[in-house]
Amino acid sequence: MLELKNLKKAFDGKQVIDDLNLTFNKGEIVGIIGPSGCGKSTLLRVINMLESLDSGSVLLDGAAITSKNVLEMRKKIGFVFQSFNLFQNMNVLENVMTALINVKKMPKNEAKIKAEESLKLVGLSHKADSMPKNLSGGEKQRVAIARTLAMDPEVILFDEPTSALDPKNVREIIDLIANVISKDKIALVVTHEMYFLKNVTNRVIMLKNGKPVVDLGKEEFFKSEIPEIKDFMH
Amino acid sequence: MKIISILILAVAMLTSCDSIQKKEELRVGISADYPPFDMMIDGEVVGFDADLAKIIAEKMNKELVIKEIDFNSLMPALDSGAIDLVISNVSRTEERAKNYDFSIPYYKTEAFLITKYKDKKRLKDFRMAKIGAQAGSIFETQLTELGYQTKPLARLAMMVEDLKTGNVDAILIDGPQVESIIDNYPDFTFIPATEIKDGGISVALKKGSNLTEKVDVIITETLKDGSLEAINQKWLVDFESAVAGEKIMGVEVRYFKVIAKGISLTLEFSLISTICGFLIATILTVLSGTSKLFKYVSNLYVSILRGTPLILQLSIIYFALPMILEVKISVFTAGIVAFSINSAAYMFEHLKAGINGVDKGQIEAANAIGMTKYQTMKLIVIPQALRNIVPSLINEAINMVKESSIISVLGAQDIMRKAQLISSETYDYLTPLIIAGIYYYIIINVMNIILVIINKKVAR
Repeated sequence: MLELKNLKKAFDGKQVIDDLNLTFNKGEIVGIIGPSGCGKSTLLRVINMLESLDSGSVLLDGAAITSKNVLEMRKKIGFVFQSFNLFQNMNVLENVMTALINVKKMPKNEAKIKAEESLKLVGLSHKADSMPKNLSGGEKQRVAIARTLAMDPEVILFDEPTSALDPKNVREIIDLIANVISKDKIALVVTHEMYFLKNVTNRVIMLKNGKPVVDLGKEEFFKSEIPEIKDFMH
Repeated sequence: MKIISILILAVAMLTSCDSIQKKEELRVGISADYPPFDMMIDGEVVGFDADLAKIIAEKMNKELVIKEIDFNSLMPALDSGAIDLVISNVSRTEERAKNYDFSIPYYKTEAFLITKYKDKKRLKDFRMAKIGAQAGSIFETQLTELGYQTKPLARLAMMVEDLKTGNVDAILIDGPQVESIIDNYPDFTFIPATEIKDGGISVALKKGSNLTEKVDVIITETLKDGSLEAINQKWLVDFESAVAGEKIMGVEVRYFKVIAKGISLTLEFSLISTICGFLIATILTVLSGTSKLFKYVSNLYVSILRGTPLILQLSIIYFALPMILEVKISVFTAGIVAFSINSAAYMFEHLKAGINGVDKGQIEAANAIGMTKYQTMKLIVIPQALRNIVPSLINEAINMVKESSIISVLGAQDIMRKAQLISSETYDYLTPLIIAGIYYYIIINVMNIILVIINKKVAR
């Protein structure tokens, strides 16, 4: 269970997250939507402390994330970026392996097996030796997802995972995400893609001015007559 | 590990340069570009002055160490304590006597003009003409005082070259040089310049030196016992300056060999300076990341070293540091220090740019996956930063090889200095410079090829 309690974060005097409270349970794939500047990305970034909080706390299975245990907690919270952020000095396999070896302290051969499994899952076994700059955008995001999955995180945060992709790659990546997220995980996905909301999520949250204004199951969300949702659909 | 062992080697080399000698030394400065008084043959300083230095050292019961230093740097070397005596065809002038001690003269000479105008008979005939004279010499001073248009030149070979090309109409030189120049260039003629007064050639010492009196006594002795006359006979009467040797395409093979001896010093010097510069730059980079104070200090360091000429920094280190700190440093050490701290300023900028050039997104991804700051630096930032900066570091080394020729001014026996010495011995200014140019060109292009190969590897 992931609990967000009284989260507050301001940039230059503007309250980007305003006393936000949310709870997520295992098996939930949550679509987070809202107008730009509503605090969606910031919300993901404060969860694993890429941004510091002004106040409030994030609890994973009851344990608060602090600056002291953040490295430990980040092993359990994966992050997939909009711009992939692959390590340019490593090939595809090394990109997936490096954190297994250096963060999870796995023996090298074990890490290699794990990384290969993970690459197979995203369908990129044949690109293991390629360098990131020789991959297409879709392939890069697959590697980034494999890198995160290999760590076996409990929570995966996706920050607009398809925004930097060609339209033809978008559905491919969304389908991949749907397939690889197992029932025992929590996934929070900041997105604009209707296809994603309709086919992958089971809960949708709309943020406005740093607060959730809508928080519904997928079915209720699409049936809803709330004006904000109507606006979003158009 | 390799870098560390090279560093240890470098430090060992530096310290060996200044190792303390057991027997007391008499360090004599000679600018070996005024034959037959001062010249360099087979890597050794020889001539009238060198022989006199030997006699003085013997009579003082000291071990003679001759330091080959550019004429203009001789007196500052006395100030800094790098040398004890200057025996290098230096004339006593009133101006110089204010700042330095001079012995009684050991040689008296007359001034002569060399020119191609056969119709002119006296110095006065050159009223409207341009006359070349050795920069900083008594001749230059007197010509200027008498109202002649004077062109000061650092070396005799340059003066002869200027005379050949017609940049000057005449040059004013000492009697002993006349014969060898006329022998080499029969078109020229010589005219005695009786208006120019020569106070005689003396040994120069630091003001108030306790050696001055002893040197006077020794010179008086050598005048009496005929040993000075013997030196005179050896160098000014019997000596044949130009020894013709084997030639390739009209150029003596000896030229190539002598100048080639400077290559190892140039390379050694550039390599050590580049490595030391890189280490200083790395330390600066790390420190400037730790606090605002260090950042400020690093930026100040960079702005000072980039904002002043290298030759000025080198001169300050070589001449001023020994006076302030009361330590003796060799030209080589001074050069290494100056070039290291200077190139460090530039490499620091390269390093900063290299690290800033690493994509912030990757650093964020490393953080998000649980890497420590250290792991992020080691696994992600440094490998990519190094790739960014290796080409600029090699470029820095290439610059270093070219700029290292500046140390020839202080007499370090590099490619450039070897070329200058050949030219002063033979009065052929151009050929040795072209040979030196060929050597520099080859070295730098080999480095360029290495740069291209590394660039290709980096771009994998």
